[in-house]
Amino acid sequence: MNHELKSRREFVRNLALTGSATFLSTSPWLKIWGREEKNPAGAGDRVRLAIIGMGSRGTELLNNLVPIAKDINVEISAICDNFPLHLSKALELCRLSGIHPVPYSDYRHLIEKEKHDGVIIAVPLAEHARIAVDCMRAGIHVFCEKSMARTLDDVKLMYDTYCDTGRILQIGHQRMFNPVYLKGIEKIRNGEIGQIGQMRGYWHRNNNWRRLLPNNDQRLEKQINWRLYKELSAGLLTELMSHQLHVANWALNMVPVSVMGSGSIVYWKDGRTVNDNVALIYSYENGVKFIYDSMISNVKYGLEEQIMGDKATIEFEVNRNYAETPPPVPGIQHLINDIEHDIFDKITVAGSSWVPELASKYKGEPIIEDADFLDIRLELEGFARFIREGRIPEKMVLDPYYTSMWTLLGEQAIDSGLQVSMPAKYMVS
Amino acid sequence: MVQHRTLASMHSTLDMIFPGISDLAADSLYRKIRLEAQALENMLSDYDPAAETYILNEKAIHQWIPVSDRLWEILTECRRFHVLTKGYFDIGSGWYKKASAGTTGISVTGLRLLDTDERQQRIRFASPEIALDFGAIGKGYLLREVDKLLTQNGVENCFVSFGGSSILTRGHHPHGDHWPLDSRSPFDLNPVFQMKNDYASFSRGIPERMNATAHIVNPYTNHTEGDSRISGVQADCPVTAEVVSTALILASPDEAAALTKGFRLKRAFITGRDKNNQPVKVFYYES
Repeated sequence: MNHELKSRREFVRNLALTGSATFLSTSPWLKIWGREEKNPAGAGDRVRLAIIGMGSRGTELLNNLVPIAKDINVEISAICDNFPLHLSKALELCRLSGIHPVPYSDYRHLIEKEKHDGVIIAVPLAEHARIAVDCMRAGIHVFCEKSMARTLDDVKLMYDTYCDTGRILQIGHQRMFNPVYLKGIEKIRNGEIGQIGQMRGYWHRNNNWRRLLPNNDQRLEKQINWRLYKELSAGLLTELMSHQLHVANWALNMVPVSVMGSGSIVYWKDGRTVNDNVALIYSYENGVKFIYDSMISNVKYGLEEQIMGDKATIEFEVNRNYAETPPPVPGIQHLINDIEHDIFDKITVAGSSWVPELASKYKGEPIIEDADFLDIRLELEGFARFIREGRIPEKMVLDPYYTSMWTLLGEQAIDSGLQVSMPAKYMVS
Repeated sequence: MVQHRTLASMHSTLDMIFPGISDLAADSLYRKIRLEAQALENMLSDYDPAAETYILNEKAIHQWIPVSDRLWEILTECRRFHVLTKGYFDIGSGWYKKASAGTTGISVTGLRLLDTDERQQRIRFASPEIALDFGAIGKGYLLREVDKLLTQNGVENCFVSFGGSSILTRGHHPHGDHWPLDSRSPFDLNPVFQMKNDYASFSRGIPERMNATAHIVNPYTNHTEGDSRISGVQADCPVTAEVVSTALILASPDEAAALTKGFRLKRAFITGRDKNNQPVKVFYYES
């Protein structure tokens, strides 16, 4: 087993075994690493996975699955894409990696012709629901990239199908498996940042978000650049914000009760129909707000999720925890310990080692010191483990469900200019 | 039971240790100290555009600008310290500090270029090459205010460290009869300052070759001192401790001896470095 995989497993196993009940109740998927698998390497336990959609995201998932497939006892049984160029490139990648999945250009044939334990769906957003529902109805467990679907009804349909078929429906919010996020959420659950008063998120880029069309064939525009067209995507909301709204909901352990927002095309007036500039405010039942903005004509502030408590602020993307009152310097901490342990010893806060005038401003502390492994691989390993157990924690479906719903409700708020709440028919718990 | 509170102030950290008081009392005291720190920063900051000092630095060049009562008191006291330290303590060298360190060819700056109108309580800079900078004394003023608040709130024992360089003590350690502050001076026969209701201040010179931001500037040469000196002072006033420890960074051993006679000090030292970067004793005083 390679070092990276070992350290990844040790990290989550440790969290699963030592995490508080409160923390594990909001991150229950970790528990699967706390249980020993009976015969994870046996041939009978091998998980056959197919990948549908071999564009950039599907290829990234393939590239992350190949190096760990043997260790997690997964066989990549098939790959599928209806765009020949993507399929041929993925096949070549597989050949170079020494694996030989069966290629398909139509996912329906992939479902009909052979038995797969699970599928990984990485197709354009508007196609998620149809393929995911067909797969679950065919008895196949589903890992689907976020956001769940293009419409509220399709998101609901995916959830209902998950309930009806008993198949696993895992949504690719990979931050759920990121060690920085896991430790940060543990800090939040354990009360280390105090009472959350506000959350902020942003994702800024400076590019046109376009992919090059093969041979500049304009007929492929919507197939390749589907993110730019409103009938196929909610743009910044479904492709970027949904990640961060999921984090906010996870951090607060709540779902919003209303959203208002605004958006426009400010800079990239190139025929796209999705906004290149959005700002939203999500409100929660306890009065907390998640304030969000995203734009793609300035990258200075990058991306971040800021969870602000009365004792500390967590910034996940930069792995920092900023105490409202900085922790004491070592000499002060030593003095406190001495007093508490009835020790009378010299106090070493001053003297020749002192350089405070040039000391930098307080820059917080890392949430986690060593996080040198890839969350996406843990996410994929989790999918294989859930398939072997035949079930997935309900929260792993519900949280993405409400995230997808509220992402699309955010779009409604922007389009209508109104404060929007969730219609009762979409509430599932 | 020991209470600890930390406050970010004046680009540094104020750590306060209160043994034997309640959580509520510590919180109440912390809030009062924070308000006092904010008030002082709002007056003394030369980086905050809303601060009185910043505004004076911007507007007082060749024109009279009135000064608030509190800042006038501080200015008056700083001018007295300037005289008592033979000019080594100088809050008027802020212009140099804001210019790039190591700049040459500028004329002498400092308080000698500050015109004061005592009757109308206003000041004027006689040259654009002067700017007020309370960085070397601001901590002392805040500790003086902290001391008043401790008295008002009946705190008998506490240890306060302002960035490790400015120390206030009251009463004694819960398990001893004083607060044993280790100065780490290599030439002091007893490097542990026995602190009890008094103050300590430590300063450090920054050699120009380190290419660091100017920290303590010699008003006679407009250069930072080049021997990595460290000075320490124990006194019964936090402002005095700040002033003397700053001046000692620049003074010769003879000047240091003369200078210490002008103040009520318990102990003072200067440590330097020789050519081999080994610590050498420059000056030591004990009352």
